[in-house]
Amino acid sequence: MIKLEKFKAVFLGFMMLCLPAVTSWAQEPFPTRPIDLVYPFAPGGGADVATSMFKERVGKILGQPLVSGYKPGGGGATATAFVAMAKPDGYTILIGSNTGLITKPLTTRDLGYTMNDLTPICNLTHSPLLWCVKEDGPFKTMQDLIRTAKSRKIKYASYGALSMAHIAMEAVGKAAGFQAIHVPYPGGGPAMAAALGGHVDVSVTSGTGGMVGPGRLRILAVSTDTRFVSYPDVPTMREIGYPMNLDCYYYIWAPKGTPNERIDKIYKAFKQARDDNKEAIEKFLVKSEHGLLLLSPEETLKLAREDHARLKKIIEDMGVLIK
Amino acid sequence: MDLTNILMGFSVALSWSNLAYCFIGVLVGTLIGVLPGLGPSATISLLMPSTFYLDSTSAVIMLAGVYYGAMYGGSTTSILVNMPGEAASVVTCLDGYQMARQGRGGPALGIAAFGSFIAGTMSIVGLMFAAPAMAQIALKFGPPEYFALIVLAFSFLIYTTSGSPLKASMMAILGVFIGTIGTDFITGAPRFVYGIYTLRDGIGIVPVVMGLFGVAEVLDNLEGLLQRTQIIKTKFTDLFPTLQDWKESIPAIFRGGFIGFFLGLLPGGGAIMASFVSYAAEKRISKHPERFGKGAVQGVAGPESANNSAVGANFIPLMTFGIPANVVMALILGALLVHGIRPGPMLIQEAPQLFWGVIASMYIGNVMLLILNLPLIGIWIQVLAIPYRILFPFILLFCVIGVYSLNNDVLEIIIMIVFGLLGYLMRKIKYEPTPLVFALVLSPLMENALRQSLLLSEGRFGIFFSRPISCTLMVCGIILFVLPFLMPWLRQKIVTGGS
Repeated sequence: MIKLEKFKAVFLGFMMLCLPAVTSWAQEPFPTRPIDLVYPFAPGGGADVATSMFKERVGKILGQPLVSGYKPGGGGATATAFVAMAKPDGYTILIGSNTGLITKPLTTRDLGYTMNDLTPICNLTHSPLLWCVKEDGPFKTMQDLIRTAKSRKIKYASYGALSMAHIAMEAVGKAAGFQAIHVPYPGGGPAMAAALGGHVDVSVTSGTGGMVGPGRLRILAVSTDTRFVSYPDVPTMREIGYPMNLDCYYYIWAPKGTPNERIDKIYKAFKQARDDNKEAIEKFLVKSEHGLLLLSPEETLKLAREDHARLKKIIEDMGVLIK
Repeated sequence: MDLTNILMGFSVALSWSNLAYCFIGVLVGTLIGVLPGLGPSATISLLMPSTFYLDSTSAVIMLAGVYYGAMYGGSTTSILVNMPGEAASVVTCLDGYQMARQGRGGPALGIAAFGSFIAGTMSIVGLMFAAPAMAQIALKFGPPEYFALIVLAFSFLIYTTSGSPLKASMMAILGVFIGTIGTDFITGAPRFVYGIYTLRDGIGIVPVVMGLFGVAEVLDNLEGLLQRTQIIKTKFTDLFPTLQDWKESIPAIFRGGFIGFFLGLLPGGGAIMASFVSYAAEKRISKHPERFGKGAVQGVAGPESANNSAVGANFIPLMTFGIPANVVMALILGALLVHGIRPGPMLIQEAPQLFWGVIASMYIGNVMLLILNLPLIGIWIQVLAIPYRILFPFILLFCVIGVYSLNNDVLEIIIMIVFGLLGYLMRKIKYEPTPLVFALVLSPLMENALRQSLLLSEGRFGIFFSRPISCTLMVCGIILFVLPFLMPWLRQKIVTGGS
């Protein structure tokens, strides 16, 4: 029929017009407009600390600003899902932590995304879990705490159910052979207050907000295998005999399918920002209880995969792994 | 008490730049408070990046100004159009709006402004003298104490309902149910979420309140629109409170100030609970409780004072321990951390100019707010003179913008509309929204406190009575609850005992 032929011709012609658009898209200069940096927490959280020293510099290096967009909610799920489903053109990136990217998909049904829906750009910082007790309390070392934990059920506060803190403590319990009572609190602040007020024996958190010192809190251990820059005198769990290598990582991810050149460009920009200002950045991060850990996309992917394997094992032992 | 400290604080706060930041903060805060939905937390998040470039003292001065400014402004729309600008201004709607309908909107706004000023100043004085001591007390509040406190609050709040207790209980239970929606923070399990992201964090109090009070009011008024163009009597008797108003309000203001200060101290407590409890207390203590809900000035004076006082008290756990009492305080903590300031007992020694400077600027800010708000009353009143058919689309517009501004989530607008329709229907069949709101706010807190307490006690209910503070609060709560049932019997006993 004549109509159909005409239609096919027009259709083919239209498709041919589109072709150049499809191929040239990846070769466009990047970036030509501001990049949305999506935060999974409300402002003032850990992610802000990780990025605040980089944002402006990176914006200048790239020639376009990084615009912060805060999408708190669902413990990081909302923001992560948002970026996972965003257009993979490099203009929407996520500053996430391993809680939102790894532990949540392992423990939550119907989440809508997994780590594999995103691809890493770089790691920025890390902030290990800290075991905090009252400074003038009965526990002077982690060994004291573990000894007591074996003889009676100790109570520990964390900043949320299935948070990295909860997972870390359960890991210790499994390794050392004790069961402790987990009392979740709505956030790090209340969890610290619980330890300070003597309502729980120990509080596991990421970052103390400056509450270490006489009359306040003492840190018994850090969750990493190597000593933490902000608290170099605090022994690691590995030294104490329960290596777990758990940490809170703050890294930048993009939706899967984002072109590699763009990922690389963003990573190089962060690297340069770090090189230009290394001392000041480190100083700030140390004071804010973060360690600088800039890693390339490949290194970050490796880190995330290993982290995933570790966490999966612990979560499985806890009995909360979803299929 | 060392006067040199506070004088030093004033010298910091009275610098031209800090005065300017204080003014910007309170001005923005007032505007935000007036706009329904848009709250101090959203605003402070927006302003945070600009504070990176400021000196830390100036940053806190400005952000604090936004917070207590919002508490001042929040009462304006509650009184004028029954729309709470803040969740903490919900109770102000109950009597404030009725006062406005009676042509007494000016006095209502005036009492709210003065009450906020007096109570705000009271809490700053408390902050100045008692901060470390109060903080120690606050630390003693663990989950059992919180639970007992909420039980006490509940037994107070039973008295706020004017209608049938059965209907109020039904609304409260509905509120409890709505409060369960979300992610259970003790186990991480989602409840009634159905995979919808917005619901994972629960149904926010703001869309609910804006729907039940604001949208429902508009819908209700639209019915009458066919007959008349203005809903509010515009024959304004005065713009200022009468001597009688003052006589009745001053005690309420002081009571509200104390209640707000105490509740604001506790992490998790705060302005919302303070305003509820103050309203209930005023109604309970009043010689004419039937006036509440119909334009009793104490119903405005108490809660408005309480919520401003709570703001000052909120700073105590933050400054002395670095523990944020609520989201806004957490944001301010974030701003401090970014500047490299670690709040804690050392703060007063390490950064005295920050601590005292902020306190001094809070005094100044309160004065600025009073001066700002009083002349504005005359202007706000004119808003009521706008024909309703022009006014109501704006009200709805601001509602929608306000709700969307919280989380950029369209679903929350739909939630607001649903509750608006619900609120409208509730009015038709004479069910009050207040018990629903109370239950929605308090029951999650209560449940969490209960479960945390039982975790701590390994299942023993005795924990509520074995600890001194919680035992006291529980006993008070139980007595308060049981008292009205016992009254007739007691009276009988006293009469027969005497003869």
